[in-house]
Amino acid sequence: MSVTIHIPTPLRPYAGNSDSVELLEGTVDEVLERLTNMHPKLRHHLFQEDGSLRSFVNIYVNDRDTRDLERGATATRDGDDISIVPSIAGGSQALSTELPELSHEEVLRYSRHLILPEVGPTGQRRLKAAKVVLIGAGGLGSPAALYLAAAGVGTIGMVDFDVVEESNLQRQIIHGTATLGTPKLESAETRIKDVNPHTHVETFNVQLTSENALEILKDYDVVLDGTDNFPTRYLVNDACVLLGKPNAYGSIFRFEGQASVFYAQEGPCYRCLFREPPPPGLVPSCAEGGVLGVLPGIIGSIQALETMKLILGEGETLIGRLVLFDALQFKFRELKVKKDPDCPICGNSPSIKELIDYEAFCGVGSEPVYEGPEITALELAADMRTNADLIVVDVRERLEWDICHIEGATLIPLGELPERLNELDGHKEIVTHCHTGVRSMQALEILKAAGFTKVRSLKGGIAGWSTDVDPTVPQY
Amino acid sequence: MWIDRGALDDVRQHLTGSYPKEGCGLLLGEVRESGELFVQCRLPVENRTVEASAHHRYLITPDDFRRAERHAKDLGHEVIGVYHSHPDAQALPSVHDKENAWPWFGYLILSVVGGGIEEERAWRLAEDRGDFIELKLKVKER
Repeated sequence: MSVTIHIPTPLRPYAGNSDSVELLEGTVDEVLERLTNMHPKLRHHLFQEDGSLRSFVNIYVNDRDTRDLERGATATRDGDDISIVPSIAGGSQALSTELPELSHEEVLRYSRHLILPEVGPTGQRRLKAAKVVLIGAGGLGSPAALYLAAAGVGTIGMVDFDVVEESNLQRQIIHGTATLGTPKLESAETRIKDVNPHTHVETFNVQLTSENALEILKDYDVVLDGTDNFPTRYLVNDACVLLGKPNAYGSIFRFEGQASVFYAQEGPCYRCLFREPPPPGLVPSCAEGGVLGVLPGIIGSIQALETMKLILGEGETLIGRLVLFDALQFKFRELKVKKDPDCPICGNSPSIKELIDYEAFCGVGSEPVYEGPEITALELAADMRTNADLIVVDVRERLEWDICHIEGATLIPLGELPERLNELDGHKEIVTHCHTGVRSMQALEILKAAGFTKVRSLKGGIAGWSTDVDPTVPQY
Repeated sequence: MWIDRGALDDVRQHLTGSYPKEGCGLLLGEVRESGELFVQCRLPVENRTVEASAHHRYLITPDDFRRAERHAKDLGHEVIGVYHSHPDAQALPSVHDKENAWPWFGYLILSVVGGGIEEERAWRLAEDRGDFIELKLKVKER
């Protein structure tokens, strides 16, 4: 009842100069434990101080890499062959010149790091030398930038082209009331400099595109994806694969979040997990579906944490693992993600060799366009005064109605409209409205298809009404 | 570390050819009782690191290593070390080299500057993994 473990040449001096050892079967972890108990000097070369395998040590059972099986928990059976196989890596930056020194001030600032053996002065210097770029300075980018700056990451790049709006402040904690209306990058840079004046901040006030992505990302060590849309998410993934960079990924929607590290050199990429984006319109954005405050703080912090581990080379990163977080149930689940050998960008024979048109790939712009007669907010206000029979139908959701509504309107959410057509008098003029005018147009289509003829849609929705007619109606 | 003249010439040719990217390969031969390394020949291995970082990184995958080990066995040798180039940099081991180093292996580093060989030095990781110790590189003429 035994397995044979094969020892590679460089480790034989620590295993009594033998090339193989017979051991009692068990899981891979158990067999390695027996091996290192028998030959204690091996432990240091196979394992890190925290007991995990060194990154360049690979364990094969028969001819299969245990990373493709269950790693340390892989079971072995009588007669199995276990091999310790090195992967060999290195590079050319010389020891003495690579890491910047810490000033006296920095030593004080990072003292809680310096006393951790896993960070220590070398780790802190690594953080100082590191360059991290954040795609998006919003919900996820906010906590990530603050924590990375505080922890001593030397250079933080940020790509964003929005300005700070009131509706951001419920969750985008790097911005504040004082910076409303200013570019997010200016607001974020000021805050980062306050948190840590040693941080070098690089800003890119542009939309990340296929034309500029490689140029912007190429000089960074880690990319932190805090985007809120599929085209940019695929763009970031593909650029990271092509440049060989790790991507600390996170996304949030309503009460749920996801996080992982996509690093094609050591594991799967985003496309291994999601080959193609969902059809446009199927997954609403946070602007349409809402998102709970605090949630981005949790997910963005996980991204920042993984970024630190990648820089320090310590611990087990989320490479090959997808974490799903449900804030309402408070449950973290973990899924294993395998590298897909047929992945179109990081697989064995990739079909994507350069950045593509991601808007087209994600079907953006190919959504059906609804057209129909429209009425402006000012015209509607005038009509409502003169035409008592005019019916105003609000096709938003009940929650939105509770936030604000137009006096005299009737609420019929878009999803209920087809069943509630009988509530509407087809002889009267009807005006539909929603938040900004998109769902309202879809409502027109439904009404026209059902034979209603005197129908119009409020241009700009209730938001336009608030601006042009009744400022007491709040914007949301 | 002893290296056969022909093997060293092969290494030089390989690494000047892969410039400006890092080239890498394995050293085959024997470890003597004294611990001294005798390199008989070299086996070039594809640098599997991604294109974008190939000018300062190299990677030999476990699958390539297994193939090389079988090949060495067929020749009656063992894999006893690694060679790689440092394009436009000194032949000193880097932090990355140290973190990923195996004990006992000889690490032959060639500094290739502007396509020409500037320096050839051999190293071995100290027992405590703390640092690299330089080995005297001795060429065995045929």
